[in-house]
Amino acid sequence: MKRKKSFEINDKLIDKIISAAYGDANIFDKLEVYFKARNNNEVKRLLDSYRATAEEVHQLGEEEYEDRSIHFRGTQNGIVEESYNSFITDFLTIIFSRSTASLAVTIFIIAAVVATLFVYRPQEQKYSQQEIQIADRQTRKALAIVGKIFNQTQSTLEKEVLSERVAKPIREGIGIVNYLFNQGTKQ
Amino acid sequence: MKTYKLFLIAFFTAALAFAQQADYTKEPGYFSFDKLMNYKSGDLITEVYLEEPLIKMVAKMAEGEKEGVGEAIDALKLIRVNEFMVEKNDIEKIEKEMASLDGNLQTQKWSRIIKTKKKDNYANVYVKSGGANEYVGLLIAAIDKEGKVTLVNIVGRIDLDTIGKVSKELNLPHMNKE
Repeated sequence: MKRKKSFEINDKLIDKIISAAYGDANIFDKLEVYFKARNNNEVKRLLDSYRATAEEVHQLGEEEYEDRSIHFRGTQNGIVEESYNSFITDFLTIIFSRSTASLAVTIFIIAAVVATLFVYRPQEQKYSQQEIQIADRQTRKALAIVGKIFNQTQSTLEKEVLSERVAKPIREGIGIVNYLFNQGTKQ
Repeated sequence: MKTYKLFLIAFFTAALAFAQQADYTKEPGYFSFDKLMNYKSGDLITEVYLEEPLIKMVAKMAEGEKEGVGEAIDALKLIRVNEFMVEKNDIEKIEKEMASLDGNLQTQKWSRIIKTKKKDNYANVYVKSGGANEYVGLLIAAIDKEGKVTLVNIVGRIDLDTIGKVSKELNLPHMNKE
């Protein structure tokens, strides 16, 4: 009588059985599990059991939930916390859930600091003495132009506005008073 | 290798982003002269364009001259002056343009502190407030009877008192002839 080959069903074999059941195993593992299942009832039973579960899992479809149910999640304590479905939360989740993105952001921040410290420096040393002297003259000229406009407006105010609109009526008023006064003294 | 490439890309992106030259057009005290410059006929009589780093150097030179002058100049970020002639026919047009500008400026929170209009002369001075007793912009738009347009825009923290005093005391002979 031909004896069935006996062997130990270890974790490695169970992993292979599960992979074969779910269809994820490579061809060699599939063959290995297939032949072992033919020769060993326990392996066959496990394989059938995982296959049945895998079929059930694959039959599960996507279900749509209302936004409201996504906004709330239960904790282990049974306390319901509100989670914020904001752009920032999504953005941060994307960044920190992916190591590459997280690394890129970290590098960008470090590079920004380095660039700010070493690349972007005040351009003080870039100017020659001659350029600074020209700039000095230009600054004085610009301020002198401002001063000229201020002076012009001040002189307009003093000479034209005050003399025409204030001094002239005052002069005329004084003239009238003088006239009346003279008339009064004559009488 | 991948990390190395990533670092280089991130570094140059950051360097570009942070090493850009200051954009003065975004300063609250900045004003664009472009519309008025369209009336320019011939070359500019005066063109001054001084940015913050150079102004700071000038401020250092001015420190010893008079109390407060260096500090007043140091607080400035940009000095722009454009003087140019316009055709006689355009004087009236540019005056109208300046009058229209006057309305726009006041809606943009510029306060007119001086307005003079006498025969063939027009000058408006505006300041932009940046908070309590602080000005962040000065703007002058003037035109004289010969058709010479003067546009001044000073950006930065402006101490009107010191700038007024300094302006009057500056000795530029050709300025006094006029």
